Amino acid sequence: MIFLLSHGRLSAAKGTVTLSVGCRLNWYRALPVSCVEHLALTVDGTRLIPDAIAVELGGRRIPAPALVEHDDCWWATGQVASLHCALEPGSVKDRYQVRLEVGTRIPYMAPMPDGSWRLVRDECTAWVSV
Amino acid sequence: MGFGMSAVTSGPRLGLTMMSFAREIYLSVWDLEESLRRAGHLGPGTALELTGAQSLPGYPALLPEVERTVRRGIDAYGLVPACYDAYTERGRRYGRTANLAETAELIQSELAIAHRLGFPMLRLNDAAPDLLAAILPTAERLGIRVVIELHAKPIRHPDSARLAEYFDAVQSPCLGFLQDLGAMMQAVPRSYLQWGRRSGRPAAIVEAVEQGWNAAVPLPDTLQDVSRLGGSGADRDWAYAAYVMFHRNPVADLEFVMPFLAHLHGKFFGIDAAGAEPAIDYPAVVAALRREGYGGVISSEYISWAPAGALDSFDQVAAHHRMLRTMWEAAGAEEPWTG
Repeated sequence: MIFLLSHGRLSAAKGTVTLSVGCRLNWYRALPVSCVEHLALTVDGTRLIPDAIAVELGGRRIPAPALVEHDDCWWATGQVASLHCALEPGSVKDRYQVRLEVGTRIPYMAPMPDGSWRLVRDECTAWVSV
Repeated sequence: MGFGMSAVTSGPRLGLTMMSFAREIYLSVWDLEESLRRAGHLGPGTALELTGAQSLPGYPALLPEVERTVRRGIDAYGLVPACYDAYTERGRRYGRTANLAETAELIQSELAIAHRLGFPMLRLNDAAPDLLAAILPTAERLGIRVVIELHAKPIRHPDSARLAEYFDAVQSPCLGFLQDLGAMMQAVPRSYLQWGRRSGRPAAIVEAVEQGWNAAVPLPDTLQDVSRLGGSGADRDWAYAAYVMFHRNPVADLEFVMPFLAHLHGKFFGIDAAGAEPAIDYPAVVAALRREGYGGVISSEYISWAPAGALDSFDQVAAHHRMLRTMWEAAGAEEPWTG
């Protein structure tokens, strides 16, 4: 999938530095965010723990591990969500190397014989300026 | 290309699926209004096919302003609403597969959207007779024909054969098949191979997948070849995807689909400089359709792996239409009795 990652920005509040990165869904059509079973970020070589990532979409902010619980929240085609990730204090820079991994369940592909669903996995790495 | 290039008036009506504009839509280069305007530029009477989940902002709801945009676009750009594409989505909830009643309810919602937008046909990517039986009364009340896409499961697949038996038994004008020509391929698309090379896959692996698929080597053997050549998991996924997306069935199978054929997806992956699509034997397909008297819609469906900087979807669909018109005329010249 092309152009998964887009613009970024940095904010600081109460001693916490947050990097926010724009991100599209790795599918050509809208899906409920409950289909996003895997979302991981590595910033400047450090893999973030899942709880350090939140997804903001249409005014809602959902911790990455909780996305699968929200089949009422849709990620529209090409919609750029903000991935907010908490960084270590003191890591303020002009740009960051961000690696995104995303695994999405396609809800109309039949489940496999064992009942599990195949994920469409994509990954990309980009330099994100803030 | 301007409005002068109209859809054919004899034989099939030409159109497009909005999947053809997937990259422009995904990158927000074209919104819904612009996509409809571009479709209209293919010529008056162009058949429109769209997927709610791809094209309609606010989906799964149909927002009033979105409904107005679609209806206004159809009128303003001379489009003919042909088919609304929906999916049998049983996996929206994590860890739970929707049961029959829940799935039927979802399809009823899609039928309602199709009806409000004026589409006479609703495509499902897959369905079994029990689901169709559950939604058929609604489809018949709304006057919408529900068509099941034959792609990964061709007409010879047991599930498709069961559907044909069901259609035969029910004899409803609101049921039928949609044949996707991606089921009748003869070669791996060049743009897929180029994308593989561009993504850094070793040339030997790209060649192995191309030669393997083209020679009908079974998937497990091709995957073994990829591993033997030092391929990574991503390389094997790429090889696997080729076998999942591209299917090889004889064009002659159209004969078995024809009694129930309501609609066609003219799948293609890139019209070359000679005006041809080498991945599918289009001359044989068009000749068969003409011979069988097909008068429905052919929706061009462009799938591209071209770089994001080379957005060429409109030009490609226009070229596909030109190719189909030329072939239709040529097929008629070979069979002068058809007029």
